[in-house]
Amino acid sequence: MVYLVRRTANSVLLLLLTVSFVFVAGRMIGDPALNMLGPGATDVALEKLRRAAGLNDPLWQQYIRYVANLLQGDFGVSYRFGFSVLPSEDLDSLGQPVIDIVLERLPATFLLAAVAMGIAVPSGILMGVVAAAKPRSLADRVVTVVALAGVSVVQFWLGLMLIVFFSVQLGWLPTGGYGGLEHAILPALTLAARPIGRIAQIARSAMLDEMSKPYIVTARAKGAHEWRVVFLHALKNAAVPIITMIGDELSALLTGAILVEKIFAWPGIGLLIIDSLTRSDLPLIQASIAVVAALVVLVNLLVDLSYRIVNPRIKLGTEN
Amino acid sequence: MRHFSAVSGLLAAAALCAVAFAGVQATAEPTRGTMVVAVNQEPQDLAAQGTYKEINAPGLRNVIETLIAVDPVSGDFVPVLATAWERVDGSTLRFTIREGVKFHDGTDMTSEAVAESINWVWSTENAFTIQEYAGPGAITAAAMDDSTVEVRSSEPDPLLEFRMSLNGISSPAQLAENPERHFDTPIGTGPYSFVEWKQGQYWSASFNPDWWGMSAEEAYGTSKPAFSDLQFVFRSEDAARVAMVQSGEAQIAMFPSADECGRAADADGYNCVTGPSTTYLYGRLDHSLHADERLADPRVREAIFSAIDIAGIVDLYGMASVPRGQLGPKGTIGFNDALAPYSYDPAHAMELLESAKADGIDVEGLQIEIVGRDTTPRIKPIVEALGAMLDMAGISTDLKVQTPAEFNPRVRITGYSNEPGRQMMQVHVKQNPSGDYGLLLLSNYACPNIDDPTGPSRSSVYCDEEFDAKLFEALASFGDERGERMKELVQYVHDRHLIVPLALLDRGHLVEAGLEFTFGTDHRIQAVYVRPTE
Repeated sequence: MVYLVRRTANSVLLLLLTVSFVFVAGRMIGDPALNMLGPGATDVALEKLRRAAGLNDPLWQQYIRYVANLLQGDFGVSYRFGFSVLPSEDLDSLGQPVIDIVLERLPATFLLAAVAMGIAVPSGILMGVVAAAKPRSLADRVVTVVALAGVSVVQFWLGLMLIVFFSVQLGWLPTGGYGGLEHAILPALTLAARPIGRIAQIARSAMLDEMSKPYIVTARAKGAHEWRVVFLHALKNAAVPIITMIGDELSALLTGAILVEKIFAWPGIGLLIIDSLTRSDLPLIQASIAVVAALVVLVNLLVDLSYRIVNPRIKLGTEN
Repeated sequence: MRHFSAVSGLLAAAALCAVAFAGVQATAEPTRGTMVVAVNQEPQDLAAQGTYKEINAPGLRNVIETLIAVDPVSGDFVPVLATAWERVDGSTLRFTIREGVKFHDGTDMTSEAVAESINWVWSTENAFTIQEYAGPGAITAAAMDDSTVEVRSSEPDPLLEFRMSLNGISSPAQLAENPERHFDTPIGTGPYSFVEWKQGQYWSASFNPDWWGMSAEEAYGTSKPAFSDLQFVFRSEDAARVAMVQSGEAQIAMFPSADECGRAADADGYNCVTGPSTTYLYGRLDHSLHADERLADPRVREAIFSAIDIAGIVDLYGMASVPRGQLGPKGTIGFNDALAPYSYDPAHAMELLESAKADGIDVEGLQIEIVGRDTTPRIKPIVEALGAMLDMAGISTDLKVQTPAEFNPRVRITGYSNEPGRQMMQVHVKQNPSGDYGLLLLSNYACPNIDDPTGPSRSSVYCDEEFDAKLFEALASFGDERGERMKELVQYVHDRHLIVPLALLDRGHLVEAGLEFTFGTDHRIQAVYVRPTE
């Protein structure tokens, strides 16, 4: 419990540092009003936006207001359509709340990550276990090559090849877009290639380590069935590094499926971040990064807590 | 069955005539379902002012219409929401608006509504991007009576009709009651009414059964909408757009690469419909404003241009032709027949640099920053090729492909005026749909005004009083005199090596087999002109 409280406090601090960094960085790259409205904006429009968004205030005042609003769940409004040219100066009534835009994209990101990990985790673990069960066998060599290919393959190429094969040649799956599960399969397969490879590699390595330990010899000597030895004894003890890898890959999927989302026109958070950067929509950039950072922190926290579940001997938050 | 139709202007004319006269039966109601168009980028917004845009608001002309349009075949102005128009004087046009037209929100398209919409679009305070097509004067409109609208430019303006052909007319009731929706919920008078914009995915529209055009053949000919719904799906990858058509998910893929389009047409029987456009790719060297002083030396500038293999760039781009040493295609008013493409001569480039060096110019310290915008098709290999060409002539380069957020400010006076001593070649695409050199010269070569950063010359880096004086005389002239004056100015800027025309772009669409699609040089995708083949 103490660990959980301390860990949560650290996470909140980390999040605060992240949003503070993004806040400062957003103001270091030039005049936010000019960036938002574009170089063609008139002085009248720029001044209207600066006044309405409080950009004329000292930076420390803007920062305190930003953090205070953040704590109340107010991330600000998007100015992507240059609303300041309109007669009203009440931006909050004109712009769309950025948190709504971000939350609208999250289900797509979650779905894609879930399907990709749903493919990658069982496949990767199974490949690693099969390879480790008979080292230097044909199966081990095949798994090693496939895992290396998964880690090395260029996502852009793989995505297009999957489209050509499954959508154009076979006509089985849509080329992209957002809809039912069938729309998620090709982008998820593209995304899953790397995690499959990495999980297989780490699972093989961890399983080889466990399989050489005395308790495995003992289990075999007692006449336990080989599948029981592998899956119940060895795999359980090899789970910690595998879970760590899964957590890493999940974080990467939540933050950086940008290329795959672009190829498949998948409207997730990665594409939103790129769009908001392209449009210099500062409030949207800040909110997107804050939400993604919160997700990564949460995933890491859950990974840490899961260590205790898979191996009760692990004591969280201590030297041991 | 194989079809590959490279539709030149002549074939476009033939196809349009075929649609109009060869027995294609117009139906009262759409007979087909949804037409999906895979477009290369999501709109920046769907505001009425964006109706003129080819790339940034694809499909918007199906929802928002203009008073007049340019006939893609003859180049003449044709009536749309106006039934007639006349020149009152050099700076005034008087429009008779069509009766009985309603906006999609049910309000009447009155003369007051039209005037209000025009004033909104051209408002200098709004400073919309349509200002890049603004003339020397400010445009305002006023309702004269129930059916007449007068549009006035504060300066004589021979291109006022053209500017009105760009001006989308949308519901002023929306601006009064629900202004925040103007940018994402267009309300026009067109054959399709807006349904929704799923950001990051698509925008859609459905057939407007009350569309006035069903009984007004002088506007759209005998073509009638064949599809009940439209969906514009955003797919930035060329190959993914082509795959959408090949898999039957889309009927049209906008702007595929030349290779993808040709291959799909050869192998599968789709139609790769291509044709010339008014879009050009160019390299603009910094010159007068905030530029490194070495670029003011004519030898250095000529050396840079001589180092560029323009035909090679055209090959690299695909679907393009070599420009004749000027930015406009043949047929543009002011086109100068005497000009030829800048010749590719690296040896001459090196001689010029040696000559400049002998006169004390630090040529070796020169480093040309070649910068493209990442939304320009195939920009990365083009920037790399330009870099390699200049390197071969002994000119050092720094290559960059930037996002619009980085690129745009550096192009315009408000942004580059903050940059000291620049050595930049901006590689970009622009359009000149006016058929006249006036706009092109004004936007690219007239001296920009830092106190009026929204003006049409905001992207120019060239200041030359003599040129400006001649240009403004030419802009106010009409007829043959205008053409002659423009020709002289085209020669003037060509000789000074200010902008190197790199390619005149063709545009292409991959179209599903069984559909016929014709487009003019403006390339707007209008569903009215997409018909099932007989």
